[in-house]
Amino acid sequence: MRHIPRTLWVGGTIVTAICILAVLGPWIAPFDPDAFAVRSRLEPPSATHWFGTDEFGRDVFSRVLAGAHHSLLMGFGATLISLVIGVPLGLIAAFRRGWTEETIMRGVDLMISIPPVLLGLLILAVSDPGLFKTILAVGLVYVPIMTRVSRAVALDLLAEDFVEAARARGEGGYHILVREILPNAWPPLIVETALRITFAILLGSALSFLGLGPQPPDSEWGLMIAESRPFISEAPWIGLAPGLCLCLLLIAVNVVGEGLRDLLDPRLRGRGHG
Amino acid sequence: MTGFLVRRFASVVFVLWAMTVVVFAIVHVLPGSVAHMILGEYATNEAIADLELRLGLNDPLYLQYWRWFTGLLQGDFGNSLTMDRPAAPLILEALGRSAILASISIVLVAIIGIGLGIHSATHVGSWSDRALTLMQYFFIAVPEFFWCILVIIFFAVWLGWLPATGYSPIAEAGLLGWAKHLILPVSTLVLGLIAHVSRLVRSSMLEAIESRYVLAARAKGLPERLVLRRHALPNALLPAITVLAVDVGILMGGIVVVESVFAFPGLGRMLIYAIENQDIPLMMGGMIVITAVYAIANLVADILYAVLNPRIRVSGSAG
Amino acid sequence: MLLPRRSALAIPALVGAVTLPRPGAAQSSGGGGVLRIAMSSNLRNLDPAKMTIGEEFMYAVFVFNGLVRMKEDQSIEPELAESWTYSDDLKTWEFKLRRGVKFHHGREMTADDVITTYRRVLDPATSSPSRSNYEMIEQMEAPDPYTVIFRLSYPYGGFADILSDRQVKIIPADRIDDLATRPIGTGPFTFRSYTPGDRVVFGRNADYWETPPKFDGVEMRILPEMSVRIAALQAGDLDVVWDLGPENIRALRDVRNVRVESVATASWDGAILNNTIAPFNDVRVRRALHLAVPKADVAEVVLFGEGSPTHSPIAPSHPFFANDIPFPARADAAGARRLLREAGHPNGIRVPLVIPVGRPVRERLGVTLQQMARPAGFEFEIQRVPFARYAAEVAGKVPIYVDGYFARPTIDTSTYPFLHTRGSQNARLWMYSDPRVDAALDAARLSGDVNVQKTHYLAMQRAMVDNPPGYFAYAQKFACAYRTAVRDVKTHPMRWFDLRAGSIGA
Repeated sequence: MRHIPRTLWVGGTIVTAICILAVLGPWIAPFDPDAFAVRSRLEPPSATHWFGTDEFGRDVFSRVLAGAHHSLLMGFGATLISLVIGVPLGLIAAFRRGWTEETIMRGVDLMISIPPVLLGLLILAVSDPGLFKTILAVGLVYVPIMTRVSRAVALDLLAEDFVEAARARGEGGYHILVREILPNAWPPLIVETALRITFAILLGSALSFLGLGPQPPDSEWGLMIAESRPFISEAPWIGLAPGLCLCLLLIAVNVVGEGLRDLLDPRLRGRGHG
Repeated sequence: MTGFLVRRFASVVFVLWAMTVVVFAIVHVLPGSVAHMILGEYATNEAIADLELRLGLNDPLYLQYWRWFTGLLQGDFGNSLTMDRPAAPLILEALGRSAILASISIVLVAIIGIGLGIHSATHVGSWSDRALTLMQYFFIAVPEFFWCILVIIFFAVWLGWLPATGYSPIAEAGLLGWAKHLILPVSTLVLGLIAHVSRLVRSSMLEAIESRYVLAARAKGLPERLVLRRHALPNALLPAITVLAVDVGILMGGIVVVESVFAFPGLGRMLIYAIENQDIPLMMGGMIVITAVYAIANLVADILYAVLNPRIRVSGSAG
Repeated sequence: MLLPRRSALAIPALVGAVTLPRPGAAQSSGGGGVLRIAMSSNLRNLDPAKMTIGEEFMYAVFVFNGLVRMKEDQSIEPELAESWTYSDDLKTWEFKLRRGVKFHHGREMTADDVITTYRRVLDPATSSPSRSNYEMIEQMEAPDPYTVIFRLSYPYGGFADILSDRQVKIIPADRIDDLATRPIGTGPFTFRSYTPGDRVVFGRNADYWETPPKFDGVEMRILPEMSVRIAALQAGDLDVVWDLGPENIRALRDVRNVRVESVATASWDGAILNNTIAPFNDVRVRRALHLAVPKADVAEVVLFGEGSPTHSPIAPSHPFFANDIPFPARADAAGARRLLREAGHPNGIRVPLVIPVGRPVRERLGVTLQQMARPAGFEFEIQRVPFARYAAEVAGKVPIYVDGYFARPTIDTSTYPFLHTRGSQNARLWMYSDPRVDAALDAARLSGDVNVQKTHYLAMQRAMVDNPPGYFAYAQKFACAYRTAVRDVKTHPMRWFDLRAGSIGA
């Protein structure tokens, strides 16, 4: 087992901590995240209210805790979707070549041509917003990239000597896929997945900021930031608290992704995708 | 090379056409009728029926699509429903303003990103390199919309140094005033991308520096500067170019949010306005234009990449 | 300084906005500077007959005049009409027009323009929002170029008052086609240009028929973020912030170079309950909501004190307001649950509650209603819908949604369309019908005596307690913030500005 990079330790710890907090959130929150307390409105952070209170008197710290699971679900859920759909598509494209590959890749080109936020907006225009629709939307947005990456990885591997050898031995396509390609493909795929999670969280919270994601009174972090806008000058903590937590989560996930890459496939340094 | 170019071009055309179909389909799934939107909520049923007849809204969808599509080709995007004037000039004006924002941003990203990346790669391990790496982790992870809020709080509300709005026409505020208004929105757009590009350049430079070509050049006794410039740099720049093209897409996404927060009257803002108000011609036209710009940016990047990288030219495919 | 590379497309941006050439006539300076007003959304219409939002009303008062004008105390005075008389049966009204009033393109205003204006509003093809307000006009005549006679189909004592409204500003009969792009009126400012998403620019009308304004021009700037508007005001980049959010009033009151002025208005927000679909088709459920959510608390939470609870579109500041009907001090969750059980909902009610995106105060109202109604058994699931989609998807279709309406010029136009069985807004909103309310509204119209009208409106409000159409939450105050250098510009309860006398001091 190679030496696990420090970045992985640090990032992994933070992400795990956030996950645990997200799961335990509703139980350990000091206040009810939805409870109004009109008398203690817009109070700055203090001993009772660690992150202060918002315009309804709700405890910001409790709301941040209650909302954590949204960002995590968006990150992991959307990435899972893009993985589950994108990787098989990419592998099929790499294997079949010819018309199948052309069709798949043209579809991929089409979807990549739409800037992600725009795609989200398109969906905003059509349907009722909500957490699961956002997860689905973000997942679909990233399918093309997963397809491209898995196809590129598969193509690379298919050109390798051991695959030639396997073909020479007479092994069928399926066997090559399972025995030769997949075991060697998963390191770069895992790295890509980890990096994708960062972007999924980013896109998900951006869409929530624009009003597409979970609805009030849910305390999704992007939504909390959006709702804090009228109070920026008076009570900046309402937006700063979820914002800084979001940054922390994103940095941690990013660090984990980089750490995984250093661990599994140092060749991929610098091959960051958008 | 020609074959490659032709294929890429055809791909762009196909993508654009497919976008028109997608946008048209999605928009016509929207609830509520176009006539209702034009006449407002106080229209009588007769007035609505009458307008629907006149606008041909009762014709089959493919006919409506054909009409809209041929109009597009002639530069006619229809009439904005909410502003009662042709949509095309509105969209193009907004595009022009966004283009200023985007161009300045991309130039800054390219210059600063590449510069920082090279510096880092050639000074590995120095405190500036470490500081840069730290900042990169930070900037990549901060969401755009949060940046906007932070930056407004800090620079406009607390310090009062910079104006909180993004747009002031040159005619009114002079060149300096115009530039001052742009500082906050542009910086919000570029920070994450500069981090991204500089990291990429740094790693590719490092890879290139350690590559065989460079070792060979060094063995030949060439001066370090020359080695870097002739061999390391071009290889480092190639991925930077592809990334810049991808960044154009990210930039556009960022522009939508940044324009909203800073009240910059560009295409991103117009699109959000169109979607919120169901101004369908504006919405469709805006989406097509943005997709076109993005597709062209990708095309340019691919061409540049192919021109600079002989291996691609031969094989005829780019990733 | 390094000039950035610009794409060729950028060039048109500087010259492409819709512009009018400056009139050749004397453009003498008023000396008062250019007033820069910040607002939050685009103007959707430059045609007065089609206007629906506050920003458009503001613009209408700059560029146009009506036959009469409403002052800040909500009384009316002559504007383009010098004087008027009416017959004893209140069905024939004769207006004498001012002479020598010039439109911005130089032509004098005559009776023909007035008749064209009203005919347009009454024409269903124009789809004017206030068409039904003027349906009593049966016939119009112009015996001479400076006299207009209106013949009404029924007696209407408040006829002169409703002519001050926003949609009946007088437009030139020969420039109707230009209204959407280069509007021409008789007002103190001329329309110069409109760049959607950025600003609307007005110039000074040096030939204005009253004393020309001191301001050299006006700019309405479109800035969606409230924090950005306030920051710009404090920095001196703007002079006025229109429609200051109640949450910002407290903070700005302490800033030295800024003045905040807030006035009571009859503009109201509330929850629109559909009386024809479940569950709010049962009056007991509607009353249960009133028991569950005390209005005094709602006004405090949502408006930070900048408004007061109300029973109907009649504002608490108005003499016709029923002061004797109490507002419950506390929620009566038990009482509400009992009513719900009687109405057949022993386990409470679960419905979606639609709130408008882009209207923060109303969004807060929605969240507040949701939170406060929960203990009584109402489970509201919030859905945020852009308010532009209300007409298509929401109004008349969902059981409950949050919306609000601007004050109207008269009590009758504020109440009749909304509450009378045959009211035009009623059919769009709650589809409410109560014979006592109808009787009170009809009777109030027939009398010119203010005291008699008052008794009827009081009866109406009492009837509405037993049978509420919807949940009228509050009448909101309207506030604007001004730089202290701005002189003689006041906050108007109808949400526009009278800029004839103002100026920017040193």
